[in-house]
Amino acid sequence: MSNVIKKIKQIAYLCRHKSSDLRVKMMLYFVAIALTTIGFLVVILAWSGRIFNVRAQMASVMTNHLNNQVEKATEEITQYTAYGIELSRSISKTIDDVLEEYNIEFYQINNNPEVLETIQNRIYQDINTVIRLGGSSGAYAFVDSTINTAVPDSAHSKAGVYLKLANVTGDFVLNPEIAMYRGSSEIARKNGAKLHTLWNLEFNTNILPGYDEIMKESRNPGTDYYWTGIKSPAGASDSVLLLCVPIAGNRIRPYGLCGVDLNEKHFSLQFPATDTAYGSMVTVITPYYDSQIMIENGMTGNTEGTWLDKTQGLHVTEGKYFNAYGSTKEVYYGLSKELSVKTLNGRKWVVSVLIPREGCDAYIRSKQATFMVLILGFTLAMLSIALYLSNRFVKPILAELDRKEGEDMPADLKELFDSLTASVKTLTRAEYSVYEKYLEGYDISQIPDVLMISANTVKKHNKSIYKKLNVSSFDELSLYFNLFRRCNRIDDLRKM
Amino acid sequence: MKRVLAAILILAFTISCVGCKEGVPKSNPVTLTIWHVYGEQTASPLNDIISEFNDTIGQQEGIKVQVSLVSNTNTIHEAVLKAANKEPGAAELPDLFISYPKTVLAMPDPDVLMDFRDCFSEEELDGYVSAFIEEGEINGKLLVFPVAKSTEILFVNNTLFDRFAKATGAEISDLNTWEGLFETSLKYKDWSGGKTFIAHDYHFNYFQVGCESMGEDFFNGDKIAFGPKFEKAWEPYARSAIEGGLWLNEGYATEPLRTGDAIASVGSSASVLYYADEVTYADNKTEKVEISAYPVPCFENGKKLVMQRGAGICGVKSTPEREKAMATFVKWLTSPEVNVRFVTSVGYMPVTEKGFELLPNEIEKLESPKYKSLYNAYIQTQKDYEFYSAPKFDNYLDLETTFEKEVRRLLRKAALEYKEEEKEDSSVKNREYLIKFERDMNRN
Repeated sequence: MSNVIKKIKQIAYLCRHKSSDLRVKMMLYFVAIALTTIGFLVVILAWSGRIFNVRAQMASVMTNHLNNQVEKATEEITQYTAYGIELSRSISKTIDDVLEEYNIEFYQINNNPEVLETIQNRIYQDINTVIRLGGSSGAYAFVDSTINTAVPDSAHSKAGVYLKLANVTGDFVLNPEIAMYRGSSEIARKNGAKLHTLWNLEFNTNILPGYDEIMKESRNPGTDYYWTGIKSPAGASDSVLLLCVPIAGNRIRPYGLCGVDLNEKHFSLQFPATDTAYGSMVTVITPYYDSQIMIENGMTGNTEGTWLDKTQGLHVTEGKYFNAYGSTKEVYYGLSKELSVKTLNGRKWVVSVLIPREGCDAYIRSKQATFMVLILGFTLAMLSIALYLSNRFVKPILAELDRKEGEDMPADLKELFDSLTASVKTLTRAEYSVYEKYLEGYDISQIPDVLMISANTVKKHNKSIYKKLNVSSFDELSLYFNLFRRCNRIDDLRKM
Repeated sequence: MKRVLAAILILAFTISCVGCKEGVPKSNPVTLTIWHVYGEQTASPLNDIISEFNDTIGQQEGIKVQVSLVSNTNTIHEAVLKAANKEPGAAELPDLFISYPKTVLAMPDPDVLMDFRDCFSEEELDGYVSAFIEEGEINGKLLVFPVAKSTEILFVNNTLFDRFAKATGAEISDLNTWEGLFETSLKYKDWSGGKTFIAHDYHFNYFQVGCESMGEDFFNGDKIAFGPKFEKAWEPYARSAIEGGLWLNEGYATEPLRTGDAIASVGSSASVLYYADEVTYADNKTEKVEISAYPVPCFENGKKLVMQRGAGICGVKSTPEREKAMATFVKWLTSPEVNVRFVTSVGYMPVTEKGFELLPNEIEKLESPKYKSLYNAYIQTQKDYEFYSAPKFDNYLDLETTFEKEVRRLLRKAALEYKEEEKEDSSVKNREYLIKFERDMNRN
């Protein structure tokens, strides 16, 4: 270590006293050494994840996307809820008008085809408008009455109109094709709607969660609505998210229910998969409980680029940067955020963004490897430059210095150096203290003041010093001092 | 020092190999989108077959097929043309879609579609029914690959027909000819108090196949010939329509059968998927019914001729990886074992010779009486009938669409007038409206 420090001091001396060209090269050498050191430090920090943290970057992308999706979903839910509430109010008024025209009470609508047909005729356009303007996949309204109380299970059979978009596509259609899912076939034909493949005349409230509860007492459509998921009714092509808004009226219990439905195709179009550097990011909107996102009971956006299984839930394991969502078949990385939506029984729904784990892990490994290669490469480059400069300039200079220090010095000069060096060791302490001041650059006249001795004492010591060192005068002594200094051997004249 | 440098270089190389090898993970599948027609609004059997593909071959090859639209050929036709014309707001063309050649002919540039001859060897293509392959060839390229074939079938609500037959002496054999069928329709109308008897999904085909079966060309170039046999086909048909025996509203024939407003229909064999096993009447009463299938009627002096139907699949050109994925899926779907399983779930016929050999076994496994009846009718049709393929010319689709719309509109008007005039003989009105119809079609 002392040799290294010595070499560095020699190089520093050369930088100060030699040509500017050599100074530049020396500076480059020092810079290369410094960058090499920094490079190795960065490698260690990157390896430990303290810098270039890929997981943190991925989490940031997921968070941004998730926030956008939550905002979009919230906007959708709010918009459709508003449509549903307005539909409820409009239908409520329509029913009141019909009851007044026919001069009957609400309970007299049962078994009254003419009145029920009138109501259906009048609410048809409102429901059609909700679909056309709002873009939902369906809209409906039914009253708490049936056309025929004599048929089996008539207590759960309710008359109304339920229209569905026949083909949910992403294109703009001024007059989308509408299918009558529930309602009078005559009214469908009159309005140019075809019958849905699974058409039936009336609603079956057995499949509607929360119906009995909501119909028990007076309700405010603006506050007593709820959203619920309905899995594919037998034979139907997909599940729906259904808005249920009570239709308030001039009686204690609501007149009926109305709302919109949003099917899987709708969600698939509204929430397309996003292509990222680490795989396809998909959006799902699902109930959440017991640390699981219940995909089979929720809605998925477009799942392009993934094998996401819509028939089972995913267990959530929270992580430092993002979560892991796993089932027996597959694992995803992602994040979830609660969706503000009024559901039956207050069940929590979340929006989640998911990316297949394999792609994420591959990306992380790839990025880390790339960083490492770049940083190592940079470090190696700096090291190579340092080595080149060392071999080309520094080493020859140091070698020259070493040569001048040792065997290459002329014999008589070497003998003189050795003799003087040995003679210094014979000085007494007092004599050395005076001699040392000369070595430091003091003049004879300054010594009495510096060492607090008399001029005679100084004169006496000088005589002894000259004799022991075999010099004739102070000037000759100074010459030796300069010679030793130029040969970088000034330290040899000190008594160690 | 040299050793240290060498060690660092080896380490860097190893790390770079590990990192760079990752690339795009194989776990991310190539996702193909498809628009199809098998099971609109219902739980589609093809969706189940596609799930099977995704779980098996798809997993192995890294291919996922995603259904983005289940509809009917008309809707897909419109959506495809909008997309092909790059209309603002149009949905993007999927990778695969079910289509008739008439849709491809109407596209501005059919060259956007894959030529399936590039995906199949000659030996592979020899396994398919050659007539089906020929049907999908346009300008020398195989652009519409056969997936499932169908024909037209007569469906009858046997439960209600039996009730009617018991009261009036009508017989199912009366429906063997068009003349007998339309005569029966008028009897039914009288017996039921004004309900229609028959709904036909393809009036255009009734006339086209009817004229051809009686030895007359239906077309004159790209227009309708309106020859003597056309008038022969018109007379009983229009009489039934005007007097109320024939359903004239828009929509598929399954609708009036669902509500009990008609009890017989002629439509694609594939419509078996949409016939419910019960009728719901206007008073919400329901009745379980038995639907049976029979070969279509023919004219008394005409040969037994029936329309060859069934759309094929088109693939949109893309990257080599995606085209290979499309070819893999189509080959799998039309492989004999898979194809015969698929077609018998949706009321179609297979498209390979080997598929037809496997068909009887598959029919044995069918549980639904309706499906069993359908395939018996199919087999009888194959045995006794000749298949007719529609010609391929550019404005075929426009002609068909206009015909369907106009003939129903005119006859609805005629029926209304007849009802208002309360005359018994509709023959004058019949003739009058034939002339009107011919004039309107020629003007168009």
